[in-house]
Amino acid sequence: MNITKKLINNKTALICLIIITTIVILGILAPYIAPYDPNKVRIVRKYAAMSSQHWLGCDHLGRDILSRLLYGIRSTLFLSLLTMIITIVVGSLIGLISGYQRGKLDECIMRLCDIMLSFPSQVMILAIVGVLGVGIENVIIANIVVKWAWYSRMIRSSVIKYSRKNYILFSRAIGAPHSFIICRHLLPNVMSELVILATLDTGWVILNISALSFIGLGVQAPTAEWGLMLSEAKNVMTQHPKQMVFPGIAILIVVAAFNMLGDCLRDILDPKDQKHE
Amino acid sequence: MSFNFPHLKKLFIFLMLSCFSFNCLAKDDITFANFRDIRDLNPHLYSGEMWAQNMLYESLVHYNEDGTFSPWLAESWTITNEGKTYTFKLRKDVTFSDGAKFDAHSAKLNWDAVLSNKVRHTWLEMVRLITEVKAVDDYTLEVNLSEPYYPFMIEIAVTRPMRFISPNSMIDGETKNGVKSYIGTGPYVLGDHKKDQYAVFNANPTYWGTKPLLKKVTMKVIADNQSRLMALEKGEIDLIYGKNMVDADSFERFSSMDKFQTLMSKPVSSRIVLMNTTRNQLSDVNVRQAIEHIISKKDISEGIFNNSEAPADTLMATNIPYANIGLKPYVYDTKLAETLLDKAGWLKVKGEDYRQKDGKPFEITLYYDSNTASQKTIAQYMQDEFEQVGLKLNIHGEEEQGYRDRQKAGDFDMVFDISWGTPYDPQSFLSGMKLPVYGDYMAQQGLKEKPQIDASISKALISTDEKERQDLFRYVLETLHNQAVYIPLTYERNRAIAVKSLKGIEFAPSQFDIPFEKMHF
Repeated sequence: MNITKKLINNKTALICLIIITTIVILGILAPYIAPYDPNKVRIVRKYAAMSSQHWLGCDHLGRDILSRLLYGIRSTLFLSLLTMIITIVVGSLIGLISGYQRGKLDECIMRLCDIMLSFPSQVMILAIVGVLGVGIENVIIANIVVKWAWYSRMIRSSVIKYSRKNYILFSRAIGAPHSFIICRHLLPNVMSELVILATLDTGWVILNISALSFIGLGVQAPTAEWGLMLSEAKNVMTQHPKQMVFPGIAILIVVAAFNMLGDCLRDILDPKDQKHE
Repeated sequence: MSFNFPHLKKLFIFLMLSCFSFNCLAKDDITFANFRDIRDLNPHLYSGEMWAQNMLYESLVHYNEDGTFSPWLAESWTITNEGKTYTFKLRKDVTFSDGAKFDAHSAKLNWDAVLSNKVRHTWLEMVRLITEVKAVDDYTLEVNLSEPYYPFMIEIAVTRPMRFISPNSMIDGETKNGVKSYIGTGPYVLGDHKKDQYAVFNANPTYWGTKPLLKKVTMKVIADNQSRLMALEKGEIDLIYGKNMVDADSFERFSSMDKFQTLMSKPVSSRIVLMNTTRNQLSDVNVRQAIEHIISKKDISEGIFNNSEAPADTLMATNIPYANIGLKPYVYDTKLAETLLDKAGWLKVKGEDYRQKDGKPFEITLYYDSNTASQKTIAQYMQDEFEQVGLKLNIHGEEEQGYRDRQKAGDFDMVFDISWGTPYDPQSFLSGMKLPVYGDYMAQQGLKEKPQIDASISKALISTDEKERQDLFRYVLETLHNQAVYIPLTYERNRAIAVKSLKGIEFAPSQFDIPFEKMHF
């Protein structure tokens, strides 16, 4: 397809894609390639420096930082992706129904969205986690609750835009079933916008989950998670500043990669550009 | 235009002199960091910071390091009527900082106020035993007890609740419903106070005793361990003082810095983990003993505290009165622990990560106070030790108040705790186990010996026979040890980090006090 070709031609997008794929693969293979058990405490090796045995050194309990970073991909990145996927599915389903159906149902859903969107998202997440209790499941739930409305809004507006296109009107006129129209005509059009939104937002979700783990609301010890690793490193910020470097860089790279990929995708998929060709 | 040189010269000399004189004048104020606000400094209640109460209020007698007492607000005292009557001769030159006179009448008002709130002081056996407080004349105070009670002098010496607040601060002659102001007889008076930010203590200009050299003590609230250390390094504060205020690694780093001095007290109290014997999985003594065997105190002492805190073998260190009773410590032995767990019915099952009994995996939670410098690290260490023998330990950090409430309610499997340290150990610490005010009471409910433990503690406190008292305390400590209710970890020390120019930093007999009156620059 045209898009794939454009994606490969765009250097930034290509690099970001490679980075993300590599990290995902590393995360999947973590149990096979991690040199140590990420939770193995060996207090005698605490704050061990970088060496041939421990490439990135050890943390305050003598756990191997490299192994923890690798396993951290699973909790940080995979959980963020999971959150993203659920949010998109829920958000776009509601958006599709709302935009396609219109009428009273649309009104109701949109006013609900207004309510959800009027709360600052961070505060809302903290409130939900506060009510449900700490733990990664609740953080994921909170993220979904806060974000779905935003997606529904976006998807709804593009659904409305495409619904007025002639080919959909014709399709309706000849009495094609709704499911057919939605799946064959609407979804492919909406999908491209969805992908951009999702990619751009994944960085935000990663940061969010890491931040909540950092303040102790998300992933619980001893699970390796980048935000949690940063939080533990913060306690020895002055004595062992090096402890903060690796989880910090890891978060930076992944979030930057997702954001830049999102930007590139937007450029590539921008319908205005396509017209000029 | 020309410069007026003579004037410039004068100005220059003046500047030189002023710099010089500023250097000459010793600094007489200090700023230090505390992890929380001073809160309610009512001397007859327990919700204020003790070091602050100790600055404002004074007792009749002073408890010394060696276990003796020296005069404070009382010049002398006699004990008559077989240890049931105490008569104190009070100092005549003492006034509260609001000008009110301190005499036998105001002392009686204070103690009556404490006695009228008996429910709150149930840990203090003495409050139950006092029958009458009498002002014989203006400067003679007489206290009658229903039974001879050996820790009486210690309990009136400690920071709370038997210290004195100005009668003008009381509300209708009572203190249990709060006080109007925090006025005492002590070397300092409370100045400016902004909740959760800072509190200023000024030297009391009308203080009867030796006036402190530091004229102003400012406390800044800095909750985070690292922020405190950075504030000290940047010169924002002069002193960090306290047990949980600094972790061992940072302490070591500061001790190697030229600008700072680090001090450590003798061991003051036991750092312990309390196991709840009422919980299903911990109700079996074999399980509790197994847990005792899988914790390597030596590793904790070396790895986490860099040897600054000695490993603890027993709940009470052997130098604590009545505690040198030759208990056999639980040694680090995972093999033995596994045997005990097998015996208790927690078996390793193929394909399962954790030991199972009746088809359920072993899983318990350890709660810690997230504001402390080392509890989380110890918890994480223990988590791994548990893992090795197939037990699951969750760890859960909480804010201090939540953590205290949880202890009190007995809503825990395991929780970090401390003994109270001198001069409270063992009598007050054990006395506190008898009532549902601390986690100990709830945690011990699963023991069939609990009624006898409580009875023995009560009896020991009013016993006049030294040997009987020793036997009773031996029974209590031995039972708690053999039943493995407490996991002793290390013997804690008080720590201080200060700028080098601060002199006279000492550690008081009580781990909760900070002797500012001895500090100077």
